Amino acid sequence: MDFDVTDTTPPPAAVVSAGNLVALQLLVAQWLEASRQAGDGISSAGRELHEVNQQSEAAAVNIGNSFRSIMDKTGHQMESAVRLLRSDSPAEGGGSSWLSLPDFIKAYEYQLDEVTKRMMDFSQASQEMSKHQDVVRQHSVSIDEMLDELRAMAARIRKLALDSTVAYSEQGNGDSRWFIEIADRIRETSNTAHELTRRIRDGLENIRAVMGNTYEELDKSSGRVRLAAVQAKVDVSQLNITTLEKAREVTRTLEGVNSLGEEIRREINSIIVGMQYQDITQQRLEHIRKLVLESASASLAGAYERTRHEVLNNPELMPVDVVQRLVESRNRNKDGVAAAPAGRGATQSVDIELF
Amino acid sequence: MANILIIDDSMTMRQMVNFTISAAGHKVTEAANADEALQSAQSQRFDLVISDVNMPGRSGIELVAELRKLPDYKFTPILLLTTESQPEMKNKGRAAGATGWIVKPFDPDALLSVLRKVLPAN
Repeated sequence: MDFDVTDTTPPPAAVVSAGNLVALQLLVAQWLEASRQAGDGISSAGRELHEVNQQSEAAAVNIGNSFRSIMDKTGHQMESAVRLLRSDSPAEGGGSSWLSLPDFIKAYEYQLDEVTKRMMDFSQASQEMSKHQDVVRQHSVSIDEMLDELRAMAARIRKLALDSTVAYSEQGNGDSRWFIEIADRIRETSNTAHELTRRIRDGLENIRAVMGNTYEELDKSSGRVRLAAVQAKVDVSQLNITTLEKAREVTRTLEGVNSLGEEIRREINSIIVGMQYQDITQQRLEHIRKLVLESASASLAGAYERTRHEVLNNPELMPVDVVQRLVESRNRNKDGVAAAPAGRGATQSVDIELF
Repeated sequence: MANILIIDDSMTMRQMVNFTISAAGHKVTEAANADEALQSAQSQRFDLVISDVNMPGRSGIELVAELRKLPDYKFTPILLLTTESQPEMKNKGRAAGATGWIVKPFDPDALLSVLRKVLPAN
């Protein structure tokens, strides 16, 4: 059977026996005590609930702040790492720019190729120079032959001068002094030519010896450079394979970073959704507090006050100690209660709707 | 980059909405209730407003109606973000002039997708 606690109509009169009256008195006394305690308990529970809500919100806000701070720092770290691996410039509007790791590898590889190429060029130039020296040597041989001829000519002229002098003396005609003088001059010229030929030949020999040494050194250098260049080329090829592998590794790392970034983004979304449940839970608890606890508290308080009022107005109906307790509690402060708000349904429909 | 005003009495919710939206490159201003929101809306022009419905003082639906009275906010997209999902509440929001209704908890990707839809292209 339901009773309306707000109904103030007096109950119908009834005949009550002495034994029943005692039992009724006990029940009323118990009801009064129980309703007072329950009312206090409900009020206390409401306050606790409110505090729990406030504390959970404060905790969630702290977690949110830390979460944001961590995400900002992680974001900066990731950006720096990715920038290092990619060809991004270090800062917007920054004066100095630097190479990313793949670019650095490419530049290094290019430089090595250039050095090897130059070494090969040098080796080829040395070989060309050796060929030129061969040509010079051939020319020097020709000059040598010409000098031989010149020498032979000088010898023939001297002999011719001598023979002419002898022949002229044997004929014994005229003044031979001017003729002898001319013959001597021819002989002298021939000797000078002979001497010059000898000196030229000596000079040529010296040049040939120097050129020989130079050629020998150049040949050795050229050989060494050629070997070094070939070795460098092999090394660079090997290095290219390594750098290529490194570049691939960088690409794989970047892909890994991107994939990790996507996973982190999904995790962040989950955290954001999870964090919202604090607010949702808080609202629902607040709803319970208002709807259930406050209305229960109000109902109990109403029933308690009405019973107490009746007992105090009719003290002869109740034992003295019960009446005394009620008088003492008259001044006790009671928590005010507000009317419960309209309930919120749990009907679920479309989560997002644009009108 | 859009200038966005978010209103919620729950600081956690404001944080989460702010984090999601600012991470996408938008500028965010927060308000804890309708009065603060109206004050902000009058002091600067926002491209989008996202408001809770149940708040102390004026509700989000009342805020929408107030904002629609301001000449600068006649056509500004206003989204309501709430745990409420009853059709009659949605109808009240629509009647007040709300552009859309999002039920909490929101998915960040879905929220950003809605923003892209309602924000002007430029």
